[in-house]
Amino acid sequence: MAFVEFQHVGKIYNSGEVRVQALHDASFQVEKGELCVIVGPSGAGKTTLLNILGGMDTLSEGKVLLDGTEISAFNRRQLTTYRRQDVGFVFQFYNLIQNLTALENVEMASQICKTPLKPEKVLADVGLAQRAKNFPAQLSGGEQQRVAIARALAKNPKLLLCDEPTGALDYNTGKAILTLLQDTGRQTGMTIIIITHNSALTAMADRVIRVRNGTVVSTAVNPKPKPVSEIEW
Amino acid sequence: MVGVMRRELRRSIRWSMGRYLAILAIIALGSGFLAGLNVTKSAMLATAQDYIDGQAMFDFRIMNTYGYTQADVEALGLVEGIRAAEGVITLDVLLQAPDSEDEVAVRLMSLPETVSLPKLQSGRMPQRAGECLADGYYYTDEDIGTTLHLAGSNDSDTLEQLTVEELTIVGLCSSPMYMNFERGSTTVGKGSLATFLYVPETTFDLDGVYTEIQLKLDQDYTMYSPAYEQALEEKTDVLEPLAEALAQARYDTVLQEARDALADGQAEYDQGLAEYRQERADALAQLDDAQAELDEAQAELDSQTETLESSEAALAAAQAQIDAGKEELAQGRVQLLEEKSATYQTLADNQAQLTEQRTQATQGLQQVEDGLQQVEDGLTQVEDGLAQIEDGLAQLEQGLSLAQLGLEAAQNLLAAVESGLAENPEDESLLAAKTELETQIANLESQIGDLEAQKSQALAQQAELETTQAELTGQKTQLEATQAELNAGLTQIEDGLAQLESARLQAEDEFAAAEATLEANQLTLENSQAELDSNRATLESGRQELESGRQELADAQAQFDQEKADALAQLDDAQAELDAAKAELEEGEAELADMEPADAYVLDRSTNVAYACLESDADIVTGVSRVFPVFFFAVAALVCLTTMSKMVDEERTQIGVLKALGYGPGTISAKYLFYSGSAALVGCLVGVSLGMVLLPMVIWQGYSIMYNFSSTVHLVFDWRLSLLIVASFTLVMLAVTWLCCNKSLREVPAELIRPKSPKAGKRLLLERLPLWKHLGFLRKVAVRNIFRYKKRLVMMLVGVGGCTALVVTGFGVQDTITNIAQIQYAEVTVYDMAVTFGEPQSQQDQAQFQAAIPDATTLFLHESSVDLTANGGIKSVYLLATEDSLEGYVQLRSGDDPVPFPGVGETVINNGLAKNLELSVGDTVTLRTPDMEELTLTVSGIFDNNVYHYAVVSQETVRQQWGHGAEVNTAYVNAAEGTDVHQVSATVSGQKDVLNVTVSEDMATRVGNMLDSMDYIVATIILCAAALAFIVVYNLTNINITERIREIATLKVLGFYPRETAAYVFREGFALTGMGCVLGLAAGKLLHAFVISQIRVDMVYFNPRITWPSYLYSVILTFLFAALVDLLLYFKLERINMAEALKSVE
Repeated sequence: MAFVEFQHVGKIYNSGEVRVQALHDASFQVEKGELCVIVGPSGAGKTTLLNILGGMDTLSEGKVLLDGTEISAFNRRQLTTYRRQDVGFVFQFYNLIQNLTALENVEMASQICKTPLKPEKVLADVGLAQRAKNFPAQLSGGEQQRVAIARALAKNPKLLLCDEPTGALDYNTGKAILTLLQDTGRQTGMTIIIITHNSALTAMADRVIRVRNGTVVSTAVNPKPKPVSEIEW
Repeated sequence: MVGVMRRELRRSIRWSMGRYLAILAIIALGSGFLAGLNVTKSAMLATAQDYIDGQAMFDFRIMNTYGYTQADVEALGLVEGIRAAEGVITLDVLLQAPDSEDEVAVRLMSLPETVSLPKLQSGRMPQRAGECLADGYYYTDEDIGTTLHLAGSNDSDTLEQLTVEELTIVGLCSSPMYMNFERGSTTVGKGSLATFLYVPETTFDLDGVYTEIQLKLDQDYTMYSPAYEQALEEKTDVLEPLAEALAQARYDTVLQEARDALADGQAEYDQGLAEYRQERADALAQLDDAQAELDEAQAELDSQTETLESSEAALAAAQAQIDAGKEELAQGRVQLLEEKSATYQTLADNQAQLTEQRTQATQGLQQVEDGLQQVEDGLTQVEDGLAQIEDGLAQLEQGLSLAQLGLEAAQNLLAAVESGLAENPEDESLLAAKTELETQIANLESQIGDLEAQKSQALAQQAELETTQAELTGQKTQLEATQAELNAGLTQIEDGLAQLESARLQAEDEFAAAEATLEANQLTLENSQAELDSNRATLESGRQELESGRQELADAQAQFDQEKADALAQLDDAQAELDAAKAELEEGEAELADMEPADAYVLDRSTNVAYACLESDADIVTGVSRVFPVFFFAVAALVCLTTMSKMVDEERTQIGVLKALGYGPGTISAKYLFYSGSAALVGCLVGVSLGMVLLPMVIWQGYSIMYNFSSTVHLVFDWRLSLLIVASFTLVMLAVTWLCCNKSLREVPAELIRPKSPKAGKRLLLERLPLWKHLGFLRKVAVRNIFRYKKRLVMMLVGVGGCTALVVTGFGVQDTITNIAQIQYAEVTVYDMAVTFGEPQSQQDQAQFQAAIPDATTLFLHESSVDLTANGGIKSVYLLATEDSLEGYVQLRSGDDPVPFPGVGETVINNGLAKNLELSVGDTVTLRTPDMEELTLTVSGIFDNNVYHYAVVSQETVRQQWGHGAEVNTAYVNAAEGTDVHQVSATVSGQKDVLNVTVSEDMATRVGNMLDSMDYIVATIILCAAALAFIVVYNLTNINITERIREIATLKVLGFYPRETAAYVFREGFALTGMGCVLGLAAGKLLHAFVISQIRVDMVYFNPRITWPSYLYSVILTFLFAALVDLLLYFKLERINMAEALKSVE
């Protein structure tokens, strides 16, 4: 059985009188330890997919399983615990707490979960040992995203979800971040899902899932993923 | 403004309704408070003015000791500028309280027709004597129809002045004479009036003498206005001489009447004395005659008694004789009975003996006969036996002979046979026959043996029986001899019995003869007894007659004694009456000699307690109104500032876009100006109109405890004030908004369109402390956040601190004010009552006064109202002059330290006075009495005091400066422990020269009641503080959450539980609330001191004090408000969508 499994997932938003079908009959699987890229144009349903997988939203139909557990059947509290223990998030805009130093931001995540990694070590792993005591405002965008990744990794999650991690970064910094993610996956065997609209990134993935108009149009396994440094866009 | 912009404005108001309403509400609160408090005093005075004008309250009361006639009233009515003059009769009486033994003091007032009219509240006006209109404050509707009874303890003078003894309540009213709850003091009962009653004039029997005259000026002036004071002053100058002239005339009339009455009295007395002497002589003569008659009757009665006594002795002797005879007779009778019984007893004994012997003899005879019978029966049997035996012997003899015959025959045969055998030995038949014959011979031989035995046996028996027969024959002979003997005894016994019977008959005859003799003797005795009894009855009736004669005589004596005593008593009474009349005459003469010229008083409304107090009572509100609204104003401006600057910040990008599109700064800022301006305008309008209505109503409600003449307040709408408030609030809000916009508008569009970089986190000094490392990151964030947004920190501190300060002030005002009376009367003026005398008290008077209340302690002193001048200011103060100490009556203290009694040339004044005139120890002050006598003094000490102003001096100082001591016109009295102060007060009221008694306890109650109305004001303040805190804290926390919505969403995504998220946000709020509280407590103390200094009540000094519970309550309330806000916002937190975290920065 696959590590992550989407079975005929559908999501309908009811806002007032408007009824929006954000997802319908979306099914895919991701194996443990894979780096998976979900790609699709804006409005294709990528974010809805990520929200559901990340336990931030519920679905209207279908099933979602992670490591054999049906997370789509969780209640609110279970979802919170799920987010707390099993999922690491990397946001497009980093979402660091401005009032905490880089190290403290990492500690914030590690303090609330059961099997954390050492915050100092994780921060060193992402190459920021020297900036541990700096506040987010004193860091560059790339550095902030590294802190965000460290924060996600420190929880030692089952799944790392990245929402357009390079969206707010320049080309080179973006590449560096992606390299970090790819290397982390290789080294730790963590399952990583990256959501992007940039098809060029598909080359670095073990598995590519294409989304369009609210459904999964194709799932392809990439036998030979390229190192990020070889990808151009 | 462009159409699109207008539409955008409308939408931004609609979409941020909470924020818009917050501004509107805080402005409404501030402006409403300001407007309401400012018009309250006017409203209260207007209400009173309506009442005073409507009920034509007097402008002057003219009084003197001897009252006025109708002619006097008319004379005063003719004075120029007087619209109406009316004579009023008042009389203080005691009424029996229903359902209890208590008596209440009540003032009866004649029902006026033109001046100081009562206002009917329910029921109807009284029409005839016996009906009354009652005080609506004291009685209720249910009391209408109740009949009130005059108490028996009223003195006769009072009762004589009334034509009725009971009054029926027909209606309830309020009176302009009593606009507040106080009913004043009196000289009857316990010294204070409970209530008043209006009665028709015919209820009084005073021959048209009025107690006072009330005057009404032509014009209705505004209360307390200078114009009114002016008019009063002018008219007083005219009225005073007139009043004095009327009083003098009245005095002359009364004096003449008294003299005439005295002369009449003397003549009457003289005539009475002569009559008395004549009557006395006559009565004594009559009494002597009656006594002689009585003595004679007594003598006669005594001789009759003697005769009776001798007859009684004779009768007693006869009776003794009869009694002896009776005794004898009784003895004879007893003897006879004894003899009779002895004789009969002997006879009976003999008879019984004989009868016994007879019975025995008869039995013996019977036995003998039985024996004979037996013996004969035995003989017969024996004879029968003998006969049988003889028969038997005969038979045996016969048998024997037979057997022997047979034997012989057999032996013969045998011999035959043997012979045959000897011939023929072998013949068989012979052999058999031989055997058989041999057997036969054997048998016969045994048979003969048996018979021989039987024959000898029978012979033996025959011999035995013959012996027995001889024995029996012997016995028979013996028995027959005994029988003969017994028969002879029996005959003898029968003879004895016959003899006994004859003896008994003889005895009976003898006894009957003796009894007959005794009966005859008794009859004789009874006849003599009957005779004696009839003699005795005669004697008894004689004795009774004598007895009744004696009784009659005793009655006559008693009657005489009684009559004599009565006569003597009557004479004594007459004597006493004459003596009393004489004393009265002497007293009357003395009184007449002492009769003082009448004192005339011209009193204006300032002597009416309610009128005099209303202004200062209303001033309390004015004091409060000076401070609080300013505070609210400041907070409103601050709230507006934060809200608007936040709004401008939020719409920064939009402003940039508009600017980039070419809109001018005016057009852009117009939106914000309009936003806040319209909120201010609407808020003001709502606030002002509600405030001007609600606050006077609420506060009047509070005052209605004291001032109950009107249930509704006359609402005053102050246009100028309203305009001022609306304009100032709106302008300030606009100014604040413009300041907010201006900063952003000055930036270039490019700058504006870019998001404002988030404010960097910063290290704090605090973090250098070792403690820091131990804090959780949540706490770290909270601490850093608190200091990150300085503006919000200040706002929060101001808002929360302000709220706490307001609550502290509210409670503090209550603490200060509610305790004032308590402190004054428990700690400063500690005497139980102050007594005012009408005359200076000499040493002798003082001793006499003290003697009337032996258990109480008294301090005599001089107390008067004087003007104190110092530092160019002038104040009315009480001058207290006594020899060397006030200890125990007025405590001179400053804080905990005693203030020494002033030395010569020195004075001690109270702290309020010192503060008012900026005096300190060592300053010089001048005191001026109404008689223009002056004292120049150095201030030697300042003591704590709350009510009234005082200057204390020693009599020595006065003597040195005036040449004579200040007259002693006051006494402070301390009742003994455990005695009823009012009881003492009543006793004191009746003493000579006593004008007035003020019981401290009653004063404390009055002041306490006045200050109770503050509770409403305090409650209002606290309510407003709550509203303020709520709006401010809500607004700020709301802004805080809105600003950090991404942060909160991120936390949620990271898996924070709702409670952790809330703690993350609210911990900060609570910390700020705590800091605000601390600041607020300090600020509250200052604000409280300021407010108290602003509350100016004439003659009352408020010493600001806040108790610890007040601080505690303030903190608790503040946190409660904050917690309430957090609770509301918790739900808002819950609704924050996690997707916010994914959105780009705007």
